[in-house]
Amino acid sequence: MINIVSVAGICIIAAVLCKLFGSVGSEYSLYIKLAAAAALMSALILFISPVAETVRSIYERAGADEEYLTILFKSLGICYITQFACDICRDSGESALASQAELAGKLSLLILALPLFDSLSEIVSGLI
Amino acid sequence: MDIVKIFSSALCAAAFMLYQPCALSVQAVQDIQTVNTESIGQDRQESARQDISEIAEELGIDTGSLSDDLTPEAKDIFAENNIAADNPEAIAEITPKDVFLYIWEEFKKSLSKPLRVLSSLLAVILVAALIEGMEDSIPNKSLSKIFGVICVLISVGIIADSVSGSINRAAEALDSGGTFMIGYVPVFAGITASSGGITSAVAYNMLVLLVAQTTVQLSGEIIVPALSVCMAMGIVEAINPGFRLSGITEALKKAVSFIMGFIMTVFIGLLSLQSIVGASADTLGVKAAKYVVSNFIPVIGGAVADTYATVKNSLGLLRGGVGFIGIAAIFIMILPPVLDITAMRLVFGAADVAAELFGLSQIKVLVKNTGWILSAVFSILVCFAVMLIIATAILMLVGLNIS
Repeated sequence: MINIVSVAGICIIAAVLCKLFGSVGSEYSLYIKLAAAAALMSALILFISPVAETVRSIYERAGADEEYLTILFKSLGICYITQFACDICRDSGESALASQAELAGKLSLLILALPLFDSLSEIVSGLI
Repeated sequence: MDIVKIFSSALCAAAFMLYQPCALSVQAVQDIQTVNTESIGQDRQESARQDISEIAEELGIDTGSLSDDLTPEAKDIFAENNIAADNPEAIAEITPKDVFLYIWEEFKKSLSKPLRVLSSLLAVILVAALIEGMEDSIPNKSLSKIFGVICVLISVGIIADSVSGSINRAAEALDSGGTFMIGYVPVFAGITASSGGITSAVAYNMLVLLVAQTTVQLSGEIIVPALSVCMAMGIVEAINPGFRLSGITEALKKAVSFIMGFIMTVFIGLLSLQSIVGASADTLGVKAAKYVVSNFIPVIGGAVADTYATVKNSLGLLRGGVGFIGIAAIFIMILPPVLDITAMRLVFGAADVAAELFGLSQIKVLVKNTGWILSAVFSILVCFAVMLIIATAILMLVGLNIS
């Protein structure tokens, strides 16, 4: 379970360190941000894992297709990672890179969803 | 809430209609008991009852052919409960509790698959809610939009099989119900005509056969394709909310409800009027025949008229049994898809609430559109069953009044 006090502590300490080291050199500020963001991301993954386990057990009990669940979690991961990359790039003033990361995320999601579109077209053509 | 009201009304009507023939059969048994007590005595009651089948055979009525078009489930239930046209006592033993227990057991069987669908849908909704909850913290919403589409696609994959399965099962039930009625109506009308209700039997034969044949034709060629197209439109709207197709689905549902209500009103009204008016004419004919027989046949005229009354009561017993079999068969054939759709509708109602709670508009649209399609199928099934059950019950009641 996520410890919100630890998360808040990491965020505040990272913000203070960024202010302190920002005057020395902007690259230090970036490193601190990256380290804090990576730590928070790990905490979030830990936070999501019980939810993922619950969803997986519900899915297993329902006897639904495992492929759907895999696609669902991969999509969720892509969304979080892409957003994380975009935010870091924008904070560093690299909006062009942020846009590229966002585009790559969208494309990854679409590629991941291709089998779903395929099965959708089968379902709809079967219905019609 | 509408579907719950419709379902409870239909359930009560079905239970009443199923129990009514039992009551009619009991009354017929009492009639024949009275006649037998007066004419041949209590000890010959059993033998008179056994003669019912012989009377039916002599009149060219083949009650055995009734079971030919029954579904295997209906055959099993009839065999388990020893229900037959010439065994009214087994019919009289059925209580409302038995009927409700049977409905409850069937409903429990129908729930397993929809509950699995609900579990899967809730899992998707839960994950979609994770992203939806992050919406405010994500400046660019394009990622969450794509994720929303993925969630809808997965939901479509989860529900499509169950929904199309339910629609197909409903169409099969309509088809088998219609096919059964095509074989059943001439037999029942023949028994009613033999026991004096010629005008009522003709009206029943004509109208119910028309409904049965039309239903068989419509179920495969129009109903299933039309509903499937609506389902496809509902899916498209859920994936791309830019297409406003729910209006078409809703209009179709209203049209189906209106048309079925209109047809049912006309059908029941016409059949009731023709049966009631016909019963008076038939009563007059029967009384005239009895008068002619008792007065114009020398010596044995009175005995022949009394024998006619005994045969008529025996036929009343047979009519009660055959009428019950028709009503029970339609009930047993239509009940599983009705309960299946009710269970699916309840599940989609729960999924609708969950989607609403988490603010997942696309999944909500999908669930809502699918619910409308299922409501339309439900209306068609219930109207079909109620029309046939009421028509048969009317003819049974009218037959009792012809003396």
